[in-house]
Amino acid sequence: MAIYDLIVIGGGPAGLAAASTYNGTDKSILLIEREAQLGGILKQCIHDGFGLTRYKEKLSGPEYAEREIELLKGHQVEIRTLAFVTKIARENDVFHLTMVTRTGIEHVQGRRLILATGCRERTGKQVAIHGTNPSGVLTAGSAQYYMNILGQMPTKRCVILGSGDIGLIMARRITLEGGHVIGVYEIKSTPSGLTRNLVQCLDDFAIPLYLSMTVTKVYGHERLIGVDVAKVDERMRVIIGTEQHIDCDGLILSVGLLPENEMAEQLSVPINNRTKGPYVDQGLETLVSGVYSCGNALHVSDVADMVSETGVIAAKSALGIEVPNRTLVEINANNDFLYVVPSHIAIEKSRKDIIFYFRVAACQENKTVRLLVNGHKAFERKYKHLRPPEMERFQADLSKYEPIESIVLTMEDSE
Amino acid sequence: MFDPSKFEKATKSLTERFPNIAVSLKDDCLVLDGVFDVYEDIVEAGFMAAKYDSGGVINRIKLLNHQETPMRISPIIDAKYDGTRCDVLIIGAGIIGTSIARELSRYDLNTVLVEKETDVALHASSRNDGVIHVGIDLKVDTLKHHYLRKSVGMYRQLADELDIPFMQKGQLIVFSKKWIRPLMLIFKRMSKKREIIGVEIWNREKLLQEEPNISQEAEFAIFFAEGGIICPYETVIALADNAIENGVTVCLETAVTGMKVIDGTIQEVNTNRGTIYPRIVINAAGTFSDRVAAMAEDQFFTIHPRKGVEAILDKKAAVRSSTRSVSMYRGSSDRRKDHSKGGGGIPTVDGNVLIGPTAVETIEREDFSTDADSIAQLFERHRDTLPNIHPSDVITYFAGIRAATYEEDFIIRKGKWTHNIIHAAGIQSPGLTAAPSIAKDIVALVEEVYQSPLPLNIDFDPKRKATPRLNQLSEDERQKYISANPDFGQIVCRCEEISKGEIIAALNRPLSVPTLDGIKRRVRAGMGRCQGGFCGPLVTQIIHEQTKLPYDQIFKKGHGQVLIRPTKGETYGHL
Repeated sequence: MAIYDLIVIGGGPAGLAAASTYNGTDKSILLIEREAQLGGILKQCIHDGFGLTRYKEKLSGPEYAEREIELLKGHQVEIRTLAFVTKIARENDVFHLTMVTRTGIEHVQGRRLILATGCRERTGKQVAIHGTNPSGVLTAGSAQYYMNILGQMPTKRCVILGSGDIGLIMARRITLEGGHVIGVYEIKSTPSGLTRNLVQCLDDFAIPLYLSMTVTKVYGHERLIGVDVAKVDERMRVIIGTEQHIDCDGLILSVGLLPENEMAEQLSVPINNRTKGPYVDQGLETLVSGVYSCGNALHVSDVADMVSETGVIAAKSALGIEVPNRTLVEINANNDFLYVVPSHIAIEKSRKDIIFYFRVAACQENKTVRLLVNGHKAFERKYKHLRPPEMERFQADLSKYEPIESIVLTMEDSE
Repeated sequence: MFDPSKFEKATKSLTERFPNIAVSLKDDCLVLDGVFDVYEDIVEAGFMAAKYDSGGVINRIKLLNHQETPMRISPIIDAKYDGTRCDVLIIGAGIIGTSIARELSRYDLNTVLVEKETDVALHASSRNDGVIHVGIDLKVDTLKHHYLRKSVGMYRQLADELDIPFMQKGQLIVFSKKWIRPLMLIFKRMSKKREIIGVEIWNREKLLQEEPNISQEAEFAIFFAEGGIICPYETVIALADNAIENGVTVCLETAVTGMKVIDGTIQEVNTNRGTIYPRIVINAAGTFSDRVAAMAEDQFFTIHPRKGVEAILDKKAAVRSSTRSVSMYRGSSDRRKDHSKGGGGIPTVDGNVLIGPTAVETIEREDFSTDADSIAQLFERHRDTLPNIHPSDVITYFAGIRAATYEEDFIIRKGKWTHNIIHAAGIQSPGLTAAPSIAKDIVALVEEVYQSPLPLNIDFDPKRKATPRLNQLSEDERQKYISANPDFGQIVCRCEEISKGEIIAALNRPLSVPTLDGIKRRVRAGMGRCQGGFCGPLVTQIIHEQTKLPYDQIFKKGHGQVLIRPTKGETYGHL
C-alpha cells in the first residue's frame, strides 16, 4: 500500500488551505472529507464578509469555498469526499486510517497527519435549558442548514439565546426571510459576537440585544409556544423575580462552539483545556509528533480567513523537515488571557515570524500586551480595546533568543 | 368482602387526619372524596387508605382550584379503524402492552394494539434506566417480587430472539461504612429468601479492582450476578416489530376515548379513529390505566403519578464510571422513595452513562418537563459513589412518570365487575424486568376469559432481526452491506457513526415511524454528543425524500412537534 506523505482530515477552510499549500512539491497528499462536497460549514454561510484578509475582497461563504477549491486544481492532491474516518492508529511512525465510503471500507496510510476537523455547536441541554421538550429549539447552525440548504423556514417568531456570531447572522437571516426575531439574549454582560456583526445584523435591523439575560424555561408539549427569560447577576445566576414570558415558536441557540477532537483523542493528543483544542508548537504540530492541528479544531476563530491561515501554517510545517524529540517551551499566559496559540515553542524549529493568536478573558481598555522571552520584549502592542470575542493576532521573531528559558505573554495598563 | 370493622377504622383515622374527607365503600373498595388544597395530602390520604387491605383504593379527592389536564391525544379524527372487530384489544404500547401483544401473537387470534402516541414506548417504557433488577429490596409477598423473579431468567433468551443487546455484568450495592458490615449477613439472608442467585460479598480490594472508578470511601459491596441492563425503548420497539411480523395490528395515534359497557361486558371501545369491537380488552395504559379501568366500569385502584428525572452522559465519561449498575446503600430512612428503585450510575448498552432517577409525586400524568434542581440533585446524590463523573459530562436529560398505585404493587388480574377486561396496571419499577412473565400470565387470563384453549399460530416466528448496526460489524461484514447498498457507506450521524442506509432501513421496519426521534430511537442517529445538531436536518431531509412527507409535516417526536413552519400563503411576524 502506498503511503501518503500527508493526510489532511477535513475539507473545510482549514483543510482546503492546508491541502493547497502543499502544492509544488513532489509529496503525495490525500484530503479526506466526510460530506459530498468540499467547503465544510462555508456551504451554508451565504452571508458575506469572507475573504477580507485572504483575498482582499468581500465574499460569501460558498464563494470563499469556491476560491479555496480552485486553488487545489492542477495540484497533486488526491481528494476523497463522502469518506468518513472511523479509526486512526499509529504504527512505526506511520498513521493507519480506516475510512468508510460509499464503496466500502478502505485503509490508507500517511506519514503526517493534519487534523482539520472543525467544531460543533454547544446544545441547549449543555447550557441546561429546562422545561418541556418541544420542537422549535435548535442550534443556530441547524437553523442555518434548514434555511440555506433545504430552503425551509424553521421558525416564524423566535428568541435567540447567545450573541455568538452565528446567532447574530441568523437573526438577520430570519428577519430577511420574513420571520420575527424578538431579541437576542446574552447571559454575559458583554456581547459574544464581533462588533461588525452586532452592527450589521442587529442594529441595522433594529433587533434588540439584551445583555445579562438568559432563557430559564421553555414551554409547549408540541411545538414551542414560549420561553421565560430573566436577568442574571454578575455571577450569571438568575435573579428571582425578573422572569418575563415571551410567546415564540422558536428558540435559536448560539451558545458556543466546541472544537471537535475525537480523532485527536484516538491518537492520545493532549488537549488544552483553555482552547479545547490540542496543545501545539509554532508549526501547529501537536504534542504527538507528526500530528498537526488547524482551523476551528485547534481553536475557534472569528473569521474563515484566520482558519485558512492556520491551515497554511500547519501544512508548511508538515512539509518541512521532521524535528524529532522537540524541546518545547510552554508560553505562560496568565488569567487575563483566555488563551494563546501556539501554546508552546519548539526550540529546534524555525522561530522567525511566528504567528500568535490570543483572546482576552474579559473586556479591557488601554492595555499593552507584551511577549517577553527570557524577560526581553519580543513583541509589544498598545490596544485601545480588547474584547473576548475579537481574536488578536501578532507576529514575532523569536530566533535571536538563545537559549530560550521562558516565554511570557503579559498585559499591563498602557502609559 | 372487606371487614366492616376495618372500614370503620379506616374512616375514623382518615377523618381524624383529614376532617373534610368523605370515605365510602364500593363493594370492597375504599372510595375517598373531597376537595383538598394541598396535593401531598391527597397522596397521603391514598397511602393511608391503602393500609387497610381493602379491595382497592379509589382516590377521587380533587385539588382545590386545579383544572385537571386532559390526556394529550393526537388531533387526528378519522375512521381508519372504525368497525374493527378483534379477539383482543390491548390499550397501551409500552413494555407491558407490546410484551403481551407479542405473547398473544403465538396464538391464532385477531389482536389489535392501540397507542395514543406516534410511536411505541414514548412514556415510562423509554423514560427509565433500563436496569434488569434482581429484586433484593422487594417484599416477597408482592406481585412485583413474583413477576420479577419469574422474569429475570427470561431476558437472555428474549434478547437473543429479538436481536437486542443485553448486558449482564451484575449489579452492585456499595457500602461506605465499616460498622454496617453485619448488614451483609442480612442481605445474604434476604437474597436466599428471594431465591436470588450469584450473590457475592466483595471487599474493598476486590471492588476497587473490578470498579476502579467507585469512590475510595467504599468499604465493601454486595454483588448480584443476575443484574443486567437493556435498552428499554429498543426492547419495546423490537417486541412491537416481532408482534407485527406475527400478525398483530398496531394502531398508532389511536387514543381510547370511551367504552360502552352493558351488563359487565365491554361492547365497544371508542377511539379518535373509529369504534373497535373487541371480545377482550387488556388494560396496559400505564399512568392512564385507572382512567381506562373507569371507562370499563372496573376501577378499583388509583394511579398517583411519580416523576423521575435522569441524565445521560457522554460516552467519554464511561471510562470514569462503573461498568455495572451501581448504587450506594443509604439505609431505609425514606420509605416513600423506596417504592422506586434507588437508581444510581448505570452504563447503558450503547456505551453512555446514565444517572438517576429522582422521585417526586406529581398531579400531572404527562408532565415530562425537567428542571435544573433535579439534575443537581442527581449529581449530589451519586457523587459519593462515582466521584469522577461531572455535570459537564451531561449530553441530555429527560423525565418519566411512574404509574404507581397506593398499594404500590402491580395489578395483574381480570376485571372485578366487568368480565372481559384484564388489567396489567400499576406497573412501575421493576415493570421492565417483570414484563416477560407478566405477559405470559396475561395470556393465561385471556384463555380463561376466552373459555377455550387458544388456537396456536402455526406461523409464529419468535425471531426478529434488528436493523444492522454497521459500526459494530467486522470490516468484512460491513463491506458486504456497503457493496450491496452504498448508502450503508455514507455516514450521516457523525457522533454515533450512523449511515444513510441504516436510517432508510429504520423507515422500512415492520413498525415504521417517520419522525426524527423515531429514527433516533431505532438507529441512534442524533443520540450523540451533538444531539442531532449536525444530523437533525439531514435526517429530516432523508425522511422527506423517502416518505414524500412535506417538510412541515415531519415531527420531532410527538404529534404536532413540527420542525418546519409552513411557508405557503402566510405572513410572518405573528404566531
